Amino acid sequence: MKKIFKKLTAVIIGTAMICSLAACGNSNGGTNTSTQETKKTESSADVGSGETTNAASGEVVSLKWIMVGSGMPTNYDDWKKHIDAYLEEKIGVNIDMEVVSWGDWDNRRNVIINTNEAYDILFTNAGTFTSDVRLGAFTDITDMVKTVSPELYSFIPESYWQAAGVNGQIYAVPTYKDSSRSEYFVWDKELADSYNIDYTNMHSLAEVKDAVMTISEGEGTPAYILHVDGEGAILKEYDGMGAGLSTLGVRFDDETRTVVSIFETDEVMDQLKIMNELYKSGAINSDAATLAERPTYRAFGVAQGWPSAAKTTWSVNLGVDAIAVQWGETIVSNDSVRGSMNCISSSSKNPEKALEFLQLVNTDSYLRDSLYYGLEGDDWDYTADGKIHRIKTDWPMAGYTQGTFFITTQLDSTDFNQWDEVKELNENASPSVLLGFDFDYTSLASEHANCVEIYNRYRSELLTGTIDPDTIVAAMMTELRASGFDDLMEEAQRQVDEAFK
Amino acid sequence: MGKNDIKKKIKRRRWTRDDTELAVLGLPTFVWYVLFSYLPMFGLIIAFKDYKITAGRSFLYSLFQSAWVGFENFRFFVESNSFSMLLRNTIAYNIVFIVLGMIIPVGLAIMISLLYSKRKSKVYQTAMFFPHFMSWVVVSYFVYAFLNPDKGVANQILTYFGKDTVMWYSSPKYWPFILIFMQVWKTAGYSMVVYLASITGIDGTLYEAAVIDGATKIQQARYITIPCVKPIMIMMFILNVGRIFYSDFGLFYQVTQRVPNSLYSTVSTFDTYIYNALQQNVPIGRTAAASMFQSVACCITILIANWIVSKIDEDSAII
Amino acid sequence: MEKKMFNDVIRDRRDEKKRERIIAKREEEEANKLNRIKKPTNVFFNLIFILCSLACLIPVVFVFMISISSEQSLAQYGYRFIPKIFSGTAYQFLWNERSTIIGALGMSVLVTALGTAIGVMLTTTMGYVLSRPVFKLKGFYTWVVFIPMIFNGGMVAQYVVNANILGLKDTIWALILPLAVSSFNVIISKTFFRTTIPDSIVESAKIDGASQLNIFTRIVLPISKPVLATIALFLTFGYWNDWFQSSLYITNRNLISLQALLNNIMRNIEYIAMNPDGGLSLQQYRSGMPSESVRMAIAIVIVVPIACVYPFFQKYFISGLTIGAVKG
Repeated sequence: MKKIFKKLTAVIIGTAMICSLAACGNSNGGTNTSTQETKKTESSADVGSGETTNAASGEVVSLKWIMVGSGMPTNYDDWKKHIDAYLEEKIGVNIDMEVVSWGDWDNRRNVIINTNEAYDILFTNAGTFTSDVRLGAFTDITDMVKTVSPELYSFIPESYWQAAGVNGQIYAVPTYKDSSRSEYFVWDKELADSYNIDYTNMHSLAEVKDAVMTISEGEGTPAYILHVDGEGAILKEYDGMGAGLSTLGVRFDDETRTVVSIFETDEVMDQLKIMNELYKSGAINSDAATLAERPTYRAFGVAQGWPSAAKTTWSVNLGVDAIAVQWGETIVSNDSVRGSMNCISSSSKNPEKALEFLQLVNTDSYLRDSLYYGLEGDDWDYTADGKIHRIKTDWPMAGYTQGTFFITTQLDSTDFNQWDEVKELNENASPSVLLGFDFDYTSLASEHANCVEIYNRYRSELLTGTIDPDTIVAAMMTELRASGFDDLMEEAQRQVDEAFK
Repeated sequence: MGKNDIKKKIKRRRWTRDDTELAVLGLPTFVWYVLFSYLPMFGLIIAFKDYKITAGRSFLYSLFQSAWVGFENFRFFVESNSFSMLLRNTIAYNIVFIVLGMIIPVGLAIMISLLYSKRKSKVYQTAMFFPHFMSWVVVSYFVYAFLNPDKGVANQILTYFGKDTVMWYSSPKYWPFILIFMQVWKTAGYSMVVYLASITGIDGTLYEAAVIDGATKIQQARYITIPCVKPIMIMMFILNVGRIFYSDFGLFYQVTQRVPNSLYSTVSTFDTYIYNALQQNVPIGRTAAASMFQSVACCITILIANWIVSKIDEDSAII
Repeated sequence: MEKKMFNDVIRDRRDEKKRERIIAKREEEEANKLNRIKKPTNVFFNLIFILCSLACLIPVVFVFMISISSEQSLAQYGYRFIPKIFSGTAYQFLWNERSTIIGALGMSVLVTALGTAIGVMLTTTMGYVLSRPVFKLKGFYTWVVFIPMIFNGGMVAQYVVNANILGLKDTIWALILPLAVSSFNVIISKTFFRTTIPDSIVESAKIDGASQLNIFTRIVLPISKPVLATIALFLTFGYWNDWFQSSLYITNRNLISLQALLNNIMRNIEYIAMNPDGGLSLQQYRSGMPSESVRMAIAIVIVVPIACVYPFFQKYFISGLTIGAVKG
């Protein structure tokens, strides 16, 4: 036994020695990564800011873009050759795409970011953006974007750039699409008509409540089917400050920017009570809190999108004709913009070229179509009247991850351009008062983690109306407070006040 | 000769040709361990650092440049209000799994080795292996189909017999049994194989001698079969104790449909807690800290278990 | 001259052992008839096993039933043992993808076969070495094997080593090498060797001047079929079911294994269902995604090949090999 102890101590001491030797070189580590980054960007921007589209002035640069999709295309090599030729001529780059499957994305992205693998452009979204920035993974493009890609900069509205940044520095190129959030009540049109429901005039949960109950009673099955995620849309008016904790936030139009405990506000409480009524009356399915996945069809539901999505997407998914009525205002907030963004690696050797490339993606229709639909001649072709005819429909790259939809060529199968609607919604959206602000909770990391864990536990029963709101909110808030929730709120308010004074 | 005596003998002996040959024989595996287990061990320090990327440099460089934060990353885990409950759940379930995981497969292995028809034996073995192939996700579909409050088979049977339906996913008291049953169901066939392999290796003449002495089948099992299987059982016991702070994530998370709140205090374990608290966007330091906690705790328990076993029967201890 | 004698000795021993084994087997069968359990007990045991087997098989049958139900009947009636409406669309869907599936199947078989071969070699050599009672480096090797069971560097560190330092990214070796050895298997094989190989055999071979390598390959391995089969079985399952390595290291379509491919199909749906951030533009992919019945069909496709392999390993467990050829 003594021998075992001796051996174990030796191993531990040995390992500890090695580690401390390695670590002692950085006793003052934790350097301010933003200064490091800006230094690097400045130096490379100096080099690159002059050139724009002149390919002859240097060798061809190879860029790597990692994104999520259904997998690598089968005709990738041909596609790459074709696109490279086009790109070389335009801006002197070659592009190397790595398309990671949806199911692999989380793991793969995690290791790519953390091990600082070599890439130039990476698809990012809200869930990971702020922590990746804090990690130091992305280049600060605040200055670069105005000098290297002015077209891109003016193409996307100012408020959207704000959301693509952290603490005033821009770290990503947002994908300008349905970047503002509009929620809709989506009805099975025929069914709703058969009950004479005046859905076009119902714009709040209180107004739709009776109608939904009527349908459920009439059909004998729940009309409003929910699953474990519940109805997150009832919180849509509150900006979550990028905290990843839905229990605190600021109302999007609150000029005083007061951080509130969301579930204790009257507004949200009323919504929860309505959900509870719907649940008790059987309009919401009784197994909502444990149902892992929602079925594709439901008579009534809430979804984010735009009006003509009823025709293009929801009807297709539901399998019946759908009609959509807007619920609440169109809001643009950090989260709505960050649904799809592309970031440039802080270790990229050609950040300005990468930015130029992204500008081209968002301004050049041909490039955009090639990314969205595939290889010209193989996957699609232009028709005589300037639309696109799709020959094959299995192109695995995901359009929404690449760039704006507003410059894609219309398909010959549609007779109206739904993107015009989206653009209008975007332009008329109300910006959240907290655009561009993220709550930095690193000083309260364990309180935060514990609160997140508590909320995630309560979430399904809370947002599906399964349990009486007074009881469940009280229980959850007690637990939260015991884990330092008030400290989090105080700190958040302090940061908000400082950022906006 | 006791193990310690042998160890002393080894120390005093000179290096023989035999030793060289054995060392060389084990060399390829040794190299594998260095490359795939020991080289990545620098990752252990991630738990103690606040990892930040240094632009343009490699991972290792960034890691060494990052700030040393001591035990800060462990705080969220250890200071959680649920810590004692998670500890209780994780350990209690594992103890039950370990005990049942020894008794049931060994019993089944002995029984299956005594069957008349070898052919039937093979069929049963293959059948009982199936649960092992199914992933917990698929199993959770099946369990859900069974326990679904609206359309599940279990409630249908209950109503058929005139009883009240049960909201399974909201009633904590049934779940320990459900989970234990599912665990045994999934692993019994697999463990049975290990023990069966050992049983078939037992010298037949021992049984002959026992029969001549008039031993009954039960006595044979008690005095011959089990002692011969004992080393394997003890080895499995120690190895399983070495995983006692871990839990099978698929079982506790998927089968319970993501641990609904009502079931929280009955079915949560360290792994489900960590998963819920640390969703995608969390610095790697914290996940590393949580694993390290589990690793260290398991290290202690396995050494204790090994020590206890070595006191009883030196040869059986694995270290 | 000496070597020839040595080989003769080995051969003679082997023949002698074979003869003794045949005699022992015959004697055992005789004895077995005398030493069998009583008939009612046999019936009782059979009943127990029938119950267990049913409990294990029914879920598989159920999953199969769901895979041949139509989407409609699933939506309306939920999961049922006998589907209300039959439909072969799930398998149709998979049949349409057959070129990718067969490619992935080939990949899986290759990885599994290679991996199992390499893994068995590495595991059993170390197991044997550790089982030798008088070996100077035994303590050292034991610790080498034991520590990784408790401590590991984590996913990120392993990725750095495998992808950056060893350069295995997007190669077949990233799927094979990291999984080849597990300390668990090494300890199992060590325990088997320790308990079933009498020291006397090894000693007498050493006296005859055999090297350890020879002893291992010519004497120990042939009589260790149960443990070889056990380790091979565990490794086969490990490789067959693995998709994690693919998700981290593989981009090239040609290197995707069956599990990775099929799991992707299953998890792709989850990803889309669980990512509201992507907004509606992500949800558009939803309608193209395969349904529940397809997912069940996938689960069946994963299970069936490996279930067919299992009987191949079985004969090493049931054949009742006796070992005690050399006594004392």
